[in-house]
Amino acid sequence: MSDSDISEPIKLLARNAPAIRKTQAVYAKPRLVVGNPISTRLESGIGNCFPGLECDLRNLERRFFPFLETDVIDNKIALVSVDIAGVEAARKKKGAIDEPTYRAYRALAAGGDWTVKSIKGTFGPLKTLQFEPSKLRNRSSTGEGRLPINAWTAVRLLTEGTDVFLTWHTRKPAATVDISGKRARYLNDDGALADMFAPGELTQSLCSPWTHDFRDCACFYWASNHPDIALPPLPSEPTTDPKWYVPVPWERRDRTLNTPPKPATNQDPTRVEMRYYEINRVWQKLNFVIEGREQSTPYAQRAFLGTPLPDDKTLETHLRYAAGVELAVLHEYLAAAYSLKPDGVLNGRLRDDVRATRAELMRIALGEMRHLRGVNTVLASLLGRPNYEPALGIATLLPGGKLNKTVAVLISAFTLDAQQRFIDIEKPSEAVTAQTVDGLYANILATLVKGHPPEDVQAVRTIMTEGEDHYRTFLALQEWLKPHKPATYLRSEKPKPAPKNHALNQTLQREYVWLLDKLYSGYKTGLPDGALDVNAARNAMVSRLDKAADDLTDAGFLLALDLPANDARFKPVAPPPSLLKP
Amino acid sequence: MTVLPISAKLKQFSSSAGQHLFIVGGSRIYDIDDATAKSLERALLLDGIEPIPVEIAALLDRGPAGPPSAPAGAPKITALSLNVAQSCNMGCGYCYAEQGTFGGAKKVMSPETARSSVDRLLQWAPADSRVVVAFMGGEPLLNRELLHSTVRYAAAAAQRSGHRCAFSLTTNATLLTAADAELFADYPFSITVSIDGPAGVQDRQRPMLGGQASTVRTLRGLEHLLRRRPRQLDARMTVTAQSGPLVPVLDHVLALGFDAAGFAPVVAAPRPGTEIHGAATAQFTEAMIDCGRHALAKLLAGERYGFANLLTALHELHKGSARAHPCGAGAGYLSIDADGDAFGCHRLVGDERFRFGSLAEGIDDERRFHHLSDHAVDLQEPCRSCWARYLCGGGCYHEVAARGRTHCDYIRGWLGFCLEAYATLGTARPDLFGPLPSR
Repeated sequence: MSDSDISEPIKLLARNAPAIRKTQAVYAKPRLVVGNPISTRLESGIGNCFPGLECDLRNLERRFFPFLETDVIDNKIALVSVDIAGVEAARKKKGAIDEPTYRAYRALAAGGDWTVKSIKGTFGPLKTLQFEPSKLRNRSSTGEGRLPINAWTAVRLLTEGTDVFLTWHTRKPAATVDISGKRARYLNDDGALADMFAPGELTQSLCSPWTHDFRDCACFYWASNHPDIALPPLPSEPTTDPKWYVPVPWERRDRTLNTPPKPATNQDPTRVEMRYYEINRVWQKLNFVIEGREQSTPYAQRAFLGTPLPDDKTLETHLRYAAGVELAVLHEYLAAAYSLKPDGVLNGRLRDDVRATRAELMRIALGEMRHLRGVNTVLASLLGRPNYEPALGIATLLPGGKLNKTVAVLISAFTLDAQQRFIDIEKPSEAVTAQTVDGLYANILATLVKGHPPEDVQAVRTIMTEGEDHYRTFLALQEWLKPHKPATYLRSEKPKPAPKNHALNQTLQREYVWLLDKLYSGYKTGLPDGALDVNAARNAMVSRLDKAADDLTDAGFLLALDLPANDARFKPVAPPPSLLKP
Repeated sequence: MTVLPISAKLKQFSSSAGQHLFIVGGSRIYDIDDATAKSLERALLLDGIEPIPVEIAALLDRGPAGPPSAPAGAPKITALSLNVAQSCNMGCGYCYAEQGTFGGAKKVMSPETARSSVDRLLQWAPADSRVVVAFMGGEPLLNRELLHSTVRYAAAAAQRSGHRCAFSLTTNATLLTAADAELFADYPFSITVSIDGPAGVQDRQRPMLGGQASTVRTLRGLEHLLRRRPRQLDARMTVTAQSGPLVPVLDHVLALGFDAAGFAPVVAAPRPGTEIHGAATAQFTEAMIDCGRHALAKLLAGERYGFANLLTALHELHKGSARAHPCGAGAGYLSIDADGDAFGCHRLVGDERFRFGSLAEGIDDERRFHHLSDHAVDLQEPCRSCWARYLCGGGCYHEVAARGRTHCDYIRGWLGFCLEAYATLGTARPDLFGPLPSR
């Protein structure tokens, strides 16, 4: 295929109702559109220093010194501007800026090609140093007293809030100015970017064009919110042909629409991708990717069709049940994770696959703990403290995927059956009546959007979004383990729970009750004070409980966690009756 | 089956909003760029030699090729017209009904027939549906007493059976009284007054039976309607070969206070001299488009202007109507004559080819089904290769049966203008249209 084979894209914009419906609504299913929740923060983005996709973190250092904007390049720190209005305002506040510093700012603002001649400050692990940036020679250096490799690293190392002394120099007109100040805070008290950063400042130096980077960096490198592979645009007539449901290279040269493009592989993807010139010329042909699929036509947000629950009391029952479901699946997932053989007894591909599987199972289990807290936060907001009583009872039955159907909690090793079961549990509900975990939350969400606080809405949205992630992860786990026989990766295919009085079991249950106690008091107290307990519980899960669980399963038993009987706080919860009705 | 030419699958057109594409299957409208418009022009010219852009080929492949497929049986009947008076007090030269007699003897419908029609309609219509009882003639007000009693009877019966019942009436208004207007306002009526224009036109084209002028009488009747307005008040203006320019007619009639006014050309009349054919068709098309441009200018200026032909077409284009038949005759709609016989529509009364039974013998659903399958537009010539076929549906059964398809150029010319107007107004006055599916 030559360059000329890629024709200019044509404009084709649907105007009347059937044209719009035809091009977009064919695949509409009632389902939540995954988007950034309001709790999205700077660190949720994909930022790095090379220079990243969503922000170039090097731009933070442009504002390392109060009221100054700088360019930090190689071994040079150059002045860009002085926020003289900010200086004046600070001066009015008594003691904020002394007279010599004020005069220094005025001098810098008066014009000139100012660069930093000398810098003195506390450079993190390199401790206190004074040096001339121009003398930095890009040599690797670690340890106290050594010089940083370049000006940006130097500034990056400056400890926030410590004193920085700069000597500025300009040749035209020849002058020198000394100034001192504290290394600026980049974030405000809410953890958001400080006001001094202008909109667009952190993105101004991104890979340009970043689409070239997509081509250059190996397939599967990119983060899920910037996929370099995606599902191809669907034909407008619904199809179940599996060829339309496999990821393809996003920058593929073959732009035909009516036949499914060749699937993405991890072998030299550049052969099938556009070259730089083509990317620049026909970048308009690169499709938007929404929900993992390229969209070649206007995108319609799918209607979300949960059924609002009738009253607060019903909402509370549903939330308590939802918490119980989170706890129940947590038990199931932990049993599965600990049923896998430890790394030490495995080799090669099998070891890698099992290790990755265990890590993902644990990640999901921790995720369920977060969901548990999310549900409890919503519950606390609904009931108000001190009325709120944490929901920490385990569900006796799980939604069974069909109307009027529930399934019992099943603690087992990560067998083939369990793998499929987990997929089914986390499967997004495609019809609202479907009795899935997702369907349960859909109705809760439909209730919350009617006048409940936005934080609560977002908490449930986050749970649903992560549920979909769990679903996809379980699909991946199934795929990873497929080449291996269960006997090769399971400690035992049918392990039995340890006897109640077994010493290892008693240790495990004691650790678990300790953890639950922490969760209870953490939830009951609420944030921020409760965070200590919640964190302690989370840490216990990967330390104390982890060890106890390891010891028990090492001895050949199934990890069966018990909630304390006869403790009202952990009383089991049954599915709300309304959930079982059509 | 032969392969259809590209011109049967799409139409390229332009408007003040740019270049556009109309895809026949599914009545879809897209905006395209100049280059694409050019290549489509070439492809239409050099059909089979010059390919159409792949993106557009994909749209053709993906979309529906035709209108929604025909139902497996005859659809339920939800609308009946009652020819309550098959006689008229006027003597319009072009009347298809020949003063309401349809070429036969003068008749009036009996109260039993009218009630039985209503009862049947409510039996036939699906539960909870909206039904329509239309009063036709002749001049329906010649049978005033029956009309009034039937309306009250139908409203009460529909309430009992759980249907929503609406009414319509086409009248020359010359006999219309204050009491009539009262009835039409009290019940959900849509009134259409036949009026052809200013006195000069009206009196020439629509004399009273004895030849006297009708304008004054018509306006007197209209006065009652304007004082006590029905839910919808429209004018139907008939255009003959002798009619002149239409813009002044339209302005005049709308100024009388109608919600909307629409033109209907005489295509098949017992006295052929009034019919529009040949060169007159081109003139009529031009006159209609003049009215269209006149209305477009008013709408662009933000005014209300009820040119019914245009507004209806714009609405259908916006929804993307794609129809297999020209109208609901014999489908959801039947017309009952004074004797209780059921015909496809009020214009087909007395035509045995379109008789679908009677109140006494019942409705022949199989015959209705065959009528619909036989008249599917994709089976008609020259319709099946016409780009406008799913907007037009193949032309009025009555006219086509009498004269054949002689007005295709008018239909295409007029719809071509409507497409352009839709694109222009869709950009300039989106408020005129209902909401689109969410983007």
